[in-house]
Amino acid sequence: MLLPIYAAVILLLRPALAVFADEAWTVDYHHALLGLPKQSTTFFHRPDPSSRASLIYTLSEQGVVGAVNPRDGGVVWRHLLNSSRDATQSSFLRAGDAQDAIVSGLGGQVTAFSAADGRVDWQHDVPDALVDLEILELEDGRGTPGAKDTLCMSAGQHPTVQRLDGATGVVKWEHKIESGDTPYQVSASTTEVFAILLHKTVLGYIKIKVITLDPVTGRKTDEYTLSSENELATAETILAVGANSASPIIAWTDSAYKTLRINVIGKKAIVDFPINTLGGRPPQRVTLHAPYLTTSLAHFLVHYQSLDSDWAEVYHIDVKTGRVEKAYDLPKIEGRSSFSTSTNGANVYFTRVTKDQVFTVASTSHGILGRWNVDSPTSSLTDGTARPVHAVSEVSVKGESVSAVRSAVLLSSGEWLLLRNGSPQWTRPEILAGTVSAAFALPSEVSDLVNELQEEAHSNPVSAYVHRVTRHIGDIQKLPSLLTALPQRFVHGFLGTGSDGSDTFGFNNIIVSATSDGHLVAVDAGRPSDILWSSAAVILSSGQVWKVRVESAAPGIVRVIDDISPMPTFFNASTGAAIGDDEVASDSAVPNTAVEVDFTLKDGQLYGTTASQSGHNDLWQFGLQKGETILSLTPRPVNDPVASIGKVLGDRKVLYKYLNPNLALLATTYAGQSRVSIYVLNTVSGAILYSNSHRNIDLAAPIAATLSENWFAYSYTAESTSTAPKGHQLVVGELFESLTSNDRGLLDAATNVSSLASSTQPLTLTQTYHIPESISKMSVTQTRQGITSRQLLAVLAESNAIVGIPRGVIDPRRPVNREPTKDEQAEGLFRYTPVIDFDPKWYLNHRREVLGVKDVITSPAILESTSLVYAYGLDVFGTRLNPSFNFDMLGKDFNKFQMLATVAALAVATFVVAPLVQRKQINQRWQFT
Amino acid sequence: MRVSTVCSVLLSALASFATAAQPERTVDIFAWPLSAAKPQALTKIAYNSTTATVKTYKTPLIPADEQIVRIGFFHPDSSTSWNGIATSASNLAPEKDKTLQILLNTDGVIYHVGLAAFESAVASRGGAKGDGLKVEVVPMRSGPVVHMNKPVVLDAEGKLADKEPEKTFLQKYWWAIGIFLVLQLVMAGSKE
Repeated sequence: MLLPIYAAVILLLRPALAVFADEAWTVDYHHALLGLPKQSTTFFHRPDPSSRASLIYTLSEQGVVGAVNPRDGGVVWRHLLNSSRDATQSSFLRAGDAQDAIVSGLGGQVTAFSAADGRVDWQHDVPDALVDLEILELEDGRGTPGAKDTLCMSAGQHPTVQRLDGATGVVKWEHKIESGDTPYQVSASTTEVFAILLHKTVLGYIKIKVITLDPVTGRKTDEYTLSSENELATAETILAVGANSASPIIAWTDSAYKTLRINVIGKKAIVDFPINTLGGRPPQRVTLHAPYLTTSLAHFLVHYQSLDSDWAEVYHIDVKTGRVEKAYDLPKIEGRSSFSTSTNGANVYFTRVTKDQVFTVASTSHGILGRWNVDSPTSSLTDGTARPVHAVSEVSVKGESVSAVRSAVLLSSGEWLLLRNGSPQWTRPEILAGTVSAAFALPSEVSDLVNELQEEAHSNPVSAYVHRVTRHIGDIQKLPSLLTALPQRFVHGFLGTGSDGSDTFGFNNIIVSATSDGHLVAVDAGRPSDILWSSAAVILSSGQVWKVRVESAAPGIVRVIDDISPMPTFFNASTGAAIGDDEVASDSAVPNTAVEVDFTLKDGQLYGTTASQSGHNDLWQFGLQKGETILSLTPRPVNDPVASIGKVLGDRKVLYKYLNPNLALLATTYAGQSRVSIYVLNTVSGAILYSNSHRNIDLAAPIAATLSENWFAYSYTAESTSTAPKGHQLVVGELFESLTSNDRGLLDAATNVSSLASSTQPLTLTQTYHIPESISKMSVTQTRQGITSRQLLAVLAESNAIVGIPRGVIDPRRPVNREPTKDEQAEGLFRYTPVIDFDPKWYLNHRREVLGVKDVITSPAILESTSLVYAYGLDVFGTRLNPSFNFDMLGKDFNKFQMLATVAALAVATFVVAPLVQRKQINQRWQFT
Repeated sequence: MRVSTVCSVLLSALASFATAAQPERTVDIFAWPLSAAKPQALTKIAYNSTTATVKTYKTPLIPADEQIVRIGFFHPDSSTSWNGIATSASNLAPEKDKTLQILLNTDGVIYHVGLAAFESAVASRGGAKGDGLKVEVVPMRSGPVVHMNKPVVLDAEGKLADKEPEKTFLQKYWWAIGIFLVLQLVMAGSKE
């Protein structure tokens, strides 16, 4: 009944292509993320030495370097260093003391940024992978008064140590390591530069070799090997090699963590300390925290982590004699705690963050200078669901005591939390930066109702009636709270002040994301600033990346398919609880009579299989040619409702769409031939419905493809030819049953068609357009019944944006080289133009930079006009789209007060006028003229 | 005149030579009922980039209760991997008009097959119809290209080249002059 009304309304309205100005920043949300910060590349630093204000700098696991304001958690600046992140790459971030410069190293590139605004000062490419990066703090006689120089060490065939000029990045000197040893780290004291190498002995053990270099010329002045006996089997038990401290050290342990061995670089003596387990379990991990300044005291802290507790020891180094001695212990505390080092002048402070306390000690004595309770009832740190992974701290000292301490703590839930004297200031959901797959799910209230209604529908009438009565009795119990909340709802509704929490329009879906490090994270689209729940779904070994797909299985339930467990696992989207698969009602509506065909991609071949008595049988195969590789396979979405089976033309005739639920778009490339082939397949029979081949394609540029309804789209970058320059192109194809109006071709009046028995071939119209930028990923909006026109969502990687291209603009039936006829105009077609410029109104992100988006997912809301959009990759961006204007919802500009005032005024007028009219009428009857 | 004739003769000779020299390939197409253990030879097709002919055709033996038959060909260097489609067993029945589609890639080599089968017009009229198979070649289309606008042509001075030269007064109004002259003549004649 509602369908024709909807359709009529849509026809009456011109599609609105942008959100209203007052809707931007309210219907959409954006997390400008950096990624999970690493302990070694995160620190507080003052960009302006004359001011005391400092920023938190980090180079994350996702390869983003950036600065965060510790006051509010806002990003001051950030750069995505390389988009093709490799988990094995080591990364470095260093800041010179009292300097407006920070230097990052990732892969084979060293980049210097201005610390205050993030402008790139210089870049330097090392010949091979970078092994270490340090800032040379020493003041040599000739001195560089400005920027401090950078030392970098690279691996590869010819490992080298280079000194780069701090202002320009020019190589000042280069020392080649010819001994064949593995370069490990570079370190500098006030007078010398040390290159630490690992020398592999005949027996397979490692010996640490130290080469001393002259900091001015880079010449080798000394070389010695530490007698590390036979305890160093791998480089993993080397704890730390200090750099830039007053007295840099090398510390390592044996693999069983029995002894700690320390060498002050430059001295040949090794000091041994037995590791005291304090009567508990032996440590599983030992880390070393030392100040990073040549001017600070040569003290350091060794942090021991066992399975259930943490403790630490503080050591002092006598700089003159090189003697190392233990100063004091920090007590064992159950549960995980993290340590961080901060300096103030020469003094060194260690801050310990546990799940309920923050305390600070000076390096000189174990007396606690400041202690604060973590006072937050809502933080995942205090409620025990998360533990601190690592922290960086900044202390402010007044006299003898520590007046304040700020700690940026990374929690195991993936949130980055700032504690100021124990009270949380802000959290950043950095775990979302590692999202590899995400899906929309209904919140529990909605899904519960759906389940109950389903139960009533599928049971016998009597029990369904009883169930319904009990449900209504349960609902009555909620009535008092509903009534008390009613006035507030009215007030909110009138003044438009925020939502009342109810979600009648279905906008507040839950988005469940799987991250590459094995977490499942849920975000409520209604309250996107907080993480709803977060849990470690799988345990991964280090360096392993979770290959996973999340999809909606049933209302309120998500299905997680990964390469670890053979069967999919199910989770409740509202709580994160795992669900057995017997509790999940299957949502697949495959009738039992039909042959069920699965199609899979295996060894570069596409298979269609079907279950039969003799196991699984190959039904069809689509093997690729030699040298052909699959770029992408896009099936038509499972939930892809289409309101109309035809296109209504201007003369009221109908062009029938080829609507086959079993379509898939396959894009392949040929290695070394710069060629791309596109196939549209029927996934039941394996027949090719459409295919074409493009030559002269730049295969290094992204190629995106999508399929929806009866149309597909793909984009690529074409190389220059003799007639055309290099450019990005978008191809749109649409499949029809026939190209004659009011004619279904061979299908005629058939209502059911078998993909196997029927021989109908769709007729395909295609059109190509030039686009200003390459598209890295495509998606299509989805609405509840498919009445609303669609938008093609395109991720623009170069301008960090997402555009929604209206379907009408890329219609393949736009008339070419002529003006549209009256009928075509009535249909909304306009003349073909070879170039589609992205209208500024199409940009969903407005002014914001949405960095590193890898995919966009869409979901219908309860309102037909609205499609929910969620983009992930590095940044997280979500919005609501109304491709055909919000025709079923009152906008914010609707004045409810004015409407009610008019009604009230009319009511009053009626009451006042009614007696007068009545009297006049009576008088008219009785008076004779 | 003579040069162009010679050229065209040469070109047409070259073209016919090219078509003649096109390698003719053959492919064995198999039919494989879903329940059968082994595929059976269906037809042998000889094809080049434009045309194909059926060399042999054998009516497949399909069990009566079989629903699905796979039609495909084996990869040239393998006896287990194949490319093919699934189709309804009724499509291979003798009373159907069957057209086997040979899908060729840009090198002119078969990469997939298709089958179109329709109720035979002859058979439906009750006439006798010999069982057979037609074959057609479906070459790979080249991808759609952008329809560019007409380029703007500038002359040596960098200005828009003049369109058509203006017609002279005589070219434009010759008919008016003609009518005038005819009128004059007629009027003069009538006066006399």
